[in-house]
Amino acid sequence: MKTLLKLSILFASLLPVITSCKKDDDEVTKPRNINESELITTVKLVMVDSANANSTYTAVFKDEDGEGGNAPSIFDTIRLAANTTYNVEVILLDESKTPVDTISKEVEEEGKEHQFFYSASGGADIHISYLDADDNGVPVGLKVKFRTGSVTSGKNGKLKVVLKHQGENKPVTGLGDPSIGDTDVEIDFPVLLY
Amino acid sequence: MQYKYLVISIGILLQLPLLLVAQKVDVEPCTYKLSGVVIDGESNQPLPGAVVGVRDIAKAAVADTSGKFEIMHLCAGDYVVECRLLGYKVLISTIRISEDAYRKFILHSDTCMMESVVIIAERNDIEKEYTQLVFELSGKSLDLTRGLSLGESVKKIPGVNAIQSGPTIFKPVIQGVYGNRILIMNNGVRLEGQQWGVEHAPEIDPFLANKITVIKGASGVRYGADAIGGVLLIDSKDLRKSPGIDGEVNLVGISNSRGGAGSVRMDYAPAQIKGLSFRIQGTVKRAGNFSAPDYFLKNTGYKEQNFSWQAGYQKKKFGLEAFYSLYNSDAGIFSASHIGNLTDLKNAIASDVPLETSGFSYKVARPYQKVAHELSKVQGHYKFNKWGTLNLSFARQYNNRAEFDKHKSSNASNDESQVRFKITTHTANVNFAHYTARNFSGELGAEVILQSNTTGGTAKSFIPNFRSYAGGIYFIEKWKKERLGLEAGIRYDQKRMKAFMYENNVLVTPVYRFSNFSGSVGSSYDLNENVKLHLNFGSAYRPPSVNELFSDGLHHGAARIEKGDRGLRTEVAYNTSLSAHYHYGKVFGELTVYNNFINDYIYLAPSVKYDAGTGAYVPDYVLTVRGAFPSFTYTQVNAVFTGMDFAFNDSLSRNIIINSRFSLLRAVNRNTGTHLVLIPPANMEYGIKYLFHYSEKLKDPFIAFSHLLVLKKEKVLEYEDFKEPPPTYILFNLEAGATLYVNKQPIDISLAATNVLNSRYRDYLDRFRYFSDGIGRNILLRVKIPFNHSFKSK
Repeated sequence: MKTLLKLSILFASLLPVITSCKKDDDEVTKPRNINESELITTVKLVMVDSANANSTYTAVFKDEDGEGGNAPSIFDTIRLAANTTYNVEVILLDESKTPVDTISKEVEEEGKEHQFFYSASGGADIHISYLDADDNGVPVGLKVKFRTGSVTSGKNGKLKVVLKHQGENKPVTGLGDPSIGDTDVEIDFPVLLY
Repeated sequence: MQYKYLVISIGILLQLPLLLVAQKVDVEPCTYKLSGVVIDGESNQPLPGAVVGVRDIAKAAVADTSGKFEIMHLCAGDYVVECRLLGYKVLISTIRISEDAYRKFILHSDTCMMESVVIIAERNDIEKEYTQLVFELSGKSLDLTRGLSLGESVKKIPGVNAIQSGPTIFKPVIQGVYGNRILIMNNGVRLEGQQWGVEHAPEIDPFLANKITVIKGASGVRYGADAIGGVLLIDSKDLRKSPGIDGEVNLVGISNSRGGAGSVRMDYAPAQIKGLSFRIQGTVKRAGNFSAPDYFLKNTGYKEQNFSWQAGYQKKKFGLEAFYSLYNSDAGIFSASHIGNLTDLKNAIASDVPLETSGFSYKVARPYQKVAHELSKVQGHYKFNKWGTLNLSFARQYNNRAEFDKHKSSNASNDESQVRFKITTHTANVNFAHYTARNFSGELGAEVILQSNTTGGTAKSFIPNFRSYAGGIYFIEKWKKERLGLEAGIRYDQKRMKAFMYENNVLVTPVYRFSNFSGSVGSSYDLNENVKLHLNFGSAYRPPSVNELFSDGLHHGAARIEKGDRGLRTEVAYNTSLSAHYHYGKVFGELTVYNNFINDYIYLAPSVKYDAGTGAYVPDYVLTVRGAFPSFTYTQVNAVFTGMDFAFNDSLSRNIIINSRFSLLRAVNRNTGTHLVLIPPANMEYGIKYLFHYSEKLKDPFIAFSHLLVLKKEKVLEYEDFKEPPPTYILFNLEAGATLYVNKQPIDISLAATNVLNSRYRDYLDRFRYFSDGIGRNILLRVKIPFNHSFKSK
């Protein structure tokens, strides 16, 4: 009997521990919707003929569910006239949100931490020059000029668009350094000059 | 070059049988027996595991669970008998044998510890309990790891490695098996954090431990799910049994990171209430950027603050104990390892030096991890007169892990973390161990685990919210008579898990159920007083972890898309090991061969597709806004791990001890015959230790030199990794230490230098080997000041 008494005291003293534990259990059944986090779903290049404002072409890359999951739903080829100059604006969107979040605005605000880099390859004859700059006078690359050359032969023409997040490491003079920072965007658009 | 070392190793191996033979020579018919009991001077309790040894003739016995021992076949004569147990003062007495003798040895605790043990501390006390392979770090050998993280501390044990992410994050690897497959028990409670991540280190303050035990091989029956590769037991010192106050202060200085650690433990047992005992313990660690031989590793500093308390009440029949620990760490992640996309990764790999370097700084900046882990436990036991002991324990753990990316999300207004996991785990255990009767001892137990996890932060994460319930029952029975020990156990477990997550803006709640039987059979056989053989078969299982089921996204540090598979089955391991222990005076040797079949072994396999143009399989890239990434999927294969571990110590003279250890392992996918990734390469260490003569003021002074060799990992599949395994490397280490007596107050001081030559090297198991060399020369200064004051009991 005495043993039983002692045992029950033992159990009783352990009880507070079990009951004292509960908390954040309700949150488990209410997960966050990942789509609430920031995502670049869409990269748009809006290219306007500098001689004719009515002649525009927009190339889009769109991957609504971000990295992994489904493949990109839109991946356009850049089709531009040969021997023409275009004023180009880059728009980054998060279309997983309503309303749609324009991420390129944030890049503009944080111009001193970001830079776009462009390079053409595979026979795509495009000369690229920057039209904008951050507070230090270093390009950001949201606005650029494309000067196209001769008609593309073959199907391997590419334009690489890279956005680097360089933080405090972004140079304060010169035209920037593509080797610095983390890549937020890197897309190889197929190019066709006609 | 590599073969040369292999030859040396084999040479040392060959010495082993010679010693066995040499030892057999002096057998003469002696018939007397020395038996007796070993008890604790303060509590009068028996001391199982105490070693009673007869000097000069190298006969010894280990006290059994009731403290009893027997030494057979003694000739008539005078003998010097030593009785020792870790944590107690050595007792030496002279015994005249002219007939069978019985002695009672009373040991008194020794807070300043004792006995310099090379690599492996006293093993005998636990061999009694396990037929499995067990290694223990305690006493001086544990002291020599102070200041290191848990994963790094156990690397000295043969067959144990660590997967690291830079200089501060280590995850233990036992016989090639890692991650969720290694169970860590913190003071009897299974550690439940976010162990699925390779860059998630165990949330334990190693200063808490008085003893770190490594059990190699599948141990599912005793410890439940996940113990496929083995178990790490972290145990703090037993609470004080006699009234008084004691404790210790540990200080460590680390040159490489200009860091330091300080830890204080204080135990108190009041004289007024007998049986009541308390402890408080706390640790502070701080380090700045570590450095490789040629450059600093930017943002590799860390901060850690830990605290624990313990209280116990012990009576003859029952005991109650409460334990609480809090672990808090901020660990910087090496900046140059944070990669935006595959092009960045390729650039980083192509560069000989990290693309981001810095000077020295203590600042822990982005990217970093902030982890808090809290453990509360209450446990009690009751000793029934006839039957045995009933143990009950309840524990609650709360783990809060926040990971901060290199850059904060640009739409985040404050300094939010990108991902945050909060996991709460409740465990309840009941266990009944019956007293030894007719050579049988054993236990029957049950365990319940409730777990709930929530995921937060601003970015996509690998694991969803989930809630799980798991339960298991087990029964283990042991039989020991004379030279032979047998053990068998069986266990049944069930687990139910429900996940809560959004998929395309719809809440889904998949449910999983897992159930499994595991079993083990083991035996130990004493060939003679010096050689003991162990043969063990064990099984264990592991349900797929949440990340393996649900991952779908970009792993930034690794520059790859990782995809889970919701159809994964439970992993099951069948482990066989055979080992021989040899112990003769100061000579100690151990050889283990093992084979671990893991069916449905889950690993991250690269997705490949058939390229009709070249007729070969090429990596399957996934196109994203950040560029193309290789895609990896959690895949199940039948694997087999086969290997051997070897350790050997010998005293060449009274002053010189040599030691060596090496491990070989081969891990193969049985379906294809190809080798698995992230498996430790062959590694070996040789050392020599010189013990000086000592004076009253300076005890146990020593100097040791060792040399670590890690061979290049061969036969890895090229397309499964971004970079070829690093070449073979050799590191030289030096150690020196002594116990200084200042007015009878002992002070342990040691100085250790690792990578003395400041060599450049990269380790295959270091995930940051793509970006930087391993750390350069590091000098650690360790000081330990124990203190003890007993109250006069009334």
